[in-house]
Amino acid sequence: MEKKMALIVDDSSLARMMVRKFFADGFKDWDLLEAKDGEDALAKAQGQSLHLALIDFNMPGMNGIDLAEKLLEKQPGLAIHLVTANIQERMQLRAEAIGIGFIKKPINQEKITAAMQGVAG
Amino acid sequence: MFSEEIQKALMEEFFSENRESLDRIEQGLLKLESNPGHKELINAVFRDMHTVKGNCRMMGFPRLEELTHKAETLLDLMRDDHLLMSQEIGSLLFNVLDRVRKTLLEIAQSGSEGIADFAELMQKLDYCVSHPQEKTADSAAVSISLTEPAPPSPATAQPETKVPTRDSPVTAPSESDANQSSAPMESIRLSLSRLDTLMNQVGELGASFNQLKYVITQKPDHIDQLLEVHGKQIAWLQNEVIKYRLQPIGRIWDQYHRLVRDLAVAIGKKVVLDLIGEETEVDRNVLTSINELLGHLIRNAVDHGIESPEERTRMGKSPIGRIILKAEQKHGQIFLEIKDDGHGIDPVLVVEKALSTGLITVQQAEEMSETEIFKLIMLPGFSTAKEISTISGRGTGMDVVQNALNKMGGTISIASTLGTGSTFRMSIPQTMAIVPALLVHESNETFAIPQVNVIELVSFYGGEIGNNIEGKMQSPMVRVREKLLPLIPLQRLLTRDGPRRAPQREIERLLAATAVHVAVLHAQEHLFALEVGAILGHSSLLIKPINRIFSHIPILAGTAVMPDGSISFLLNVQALLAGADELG
Repeated sequence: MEKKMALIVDDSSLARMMVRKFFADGFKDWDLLEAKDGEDALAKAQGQSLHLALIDFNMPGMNGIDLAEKLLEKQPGLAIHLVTANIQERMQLRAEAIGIGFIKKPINQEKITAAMQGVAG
Repeated sequence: MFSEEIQKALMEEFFSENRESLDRIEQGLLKLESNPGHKELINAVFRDMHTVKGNCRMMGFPRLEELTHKAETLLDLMRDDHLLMSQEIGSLLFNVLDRVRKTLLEIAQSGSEGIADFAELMQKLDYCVSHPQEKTADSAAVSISLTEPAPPSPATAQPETKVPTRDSPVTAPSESDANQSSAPMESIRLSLSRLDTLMNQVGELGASFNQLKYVITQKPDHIDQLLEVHGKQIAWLQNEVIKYRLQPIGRIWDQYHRLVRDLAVAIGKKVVLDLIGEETEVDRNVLTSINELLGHLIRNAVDHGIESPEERTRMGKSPIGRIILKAEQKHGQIFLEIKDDGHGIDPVLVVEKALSTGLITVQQAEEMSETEIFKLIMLPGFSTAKEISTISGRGTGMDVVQNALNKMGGTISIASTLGTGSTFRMSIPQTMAIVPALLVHESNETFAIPQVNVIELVSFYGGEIGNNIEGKMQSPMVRVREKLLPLIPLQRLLTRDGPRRAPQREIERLLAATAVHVAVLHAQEHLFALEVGAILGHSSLLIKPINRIFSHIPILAGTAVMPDGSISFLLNVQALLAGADELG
């Protein structure tokens, strides 16, 4: 079976490490692409066919929603979830208006599984 | 949940990342103390605090999480300019840093955050958060209720902000949402120093009134001088009080995020709303009317302007549609712009529709410019048949927008490129209360024309009339500064329901007159000359909304009481031009 690919973007190395463990533990049919901010994510996603993106909202440079917009331009069908603890209402509305889902921090295996339900294919 | 080995690796990362973040926060805070408004710095410190908080939550240290969360909230206020870095806040945040570091050390040694008690520190943080001091505001202030007088127009009483949603996973806009957004508009905060200045001026007004009473009986030759002083004082007071009524337009804009989100979710579109110029200040009466029409235009842009993500992708566009709402203030006018990158308005379909409903004749259609064609969608009869207006790219009821603009004496222009999107540009007066106006006389009535629309005044006598006025395509034209302008007799617009002279007779009447007085006016990009019976002079008028009985007459924008107690009408210049077009 061909592996699917998830993109995880978070400026916290601990947060990335955590997600990496979850994937290594429970989602062996997935490859993981890690990025520390928006610029990094766009560079790494270049030419890749992504199935799922889990994006932190608060990051240096562009925020999670701006990154999501750019990713959607390249890959209109991509399932994107913002991983946040608390978000301003206007930001939440803005994200929902472009069809982005939310994962409430702290992230765990169940929440990732739920996010994978929306992935096409 | 993880093996011991993995847990250990995570803890190592936890300590090292926190250490780096805390060091950066410290550096940032030190720099902020000498450079309190530095946005980049505040942002960086906020993000690092956010990371530390997230790390503490991930690894299960709730007390540290709570403490850093409160510090983050404080930094968030600083980010939004509600709080300025001060020595006091600096010390507080340094205190937080010390305690977090100390507790992290404890965790490294014992594996738990122990009984760390941050109660006092958190209380101080809470206090700072709940007592934000705006950078510019004075600390002492009073609240003034603006509940009275009630908004004058019944149409503005219920701004259409609610959108029916078929299925909305979060929450549909509820009654309480609407209340929340309108509640802050009912009162304003006024600094005590401003109130004191106001008191002083009112006191002086009283003094000069007494002086006036004295002078009228004892020294009548000083009256003019005193009246001038008196007039200046009143004008100052008017200006000052109007300033209190101004509110940032961003206050009503916040709800548009919800509007866009609910609509987009309901109809399966992806839409981003960008707001520019939220700080632009507008009279709160105008604000309510603006809200009505902006809501309408945004709804239309999402509903009919922006294409579905599939269609956009097919056309080589980003699947995400973009709506940009912009406001700016210039020369006492507010300029509003709503721009979308949807499929635009098809002028061919608009003309077809206008022809089929009898709004225009074939001949008129052939002579129309694209700008004029787009204007057709604003006509009351245009957008009643829903299916056709949907194809043409705009929803129903654009005449609602036109009516709201008429009420405010505003104007609109539409630009659109098929496949690329539409732009609606509007200008409205910043305040409706007091309008500098030109007074003219016609058919035994006094009319006021907003000074912002007046370019110049010209009177022709005797032979000058024949030299400067002529008929062109059977319509009267006047030559002003070598430029031929359409000449619209106000008299003709006022008798729109009664028997009218044929255009040719109108020209004959003008040529036979002993004097012709015209005011050269501009309505957006159009220049024209309005012929009036007499030009009276300038005055600043207190404008009241128009009585319901007259509200169907588009050329009337408001009423004002004249010094002799009579009533004059304020003319809507844009509607004058539209009215003349209709009469032909």
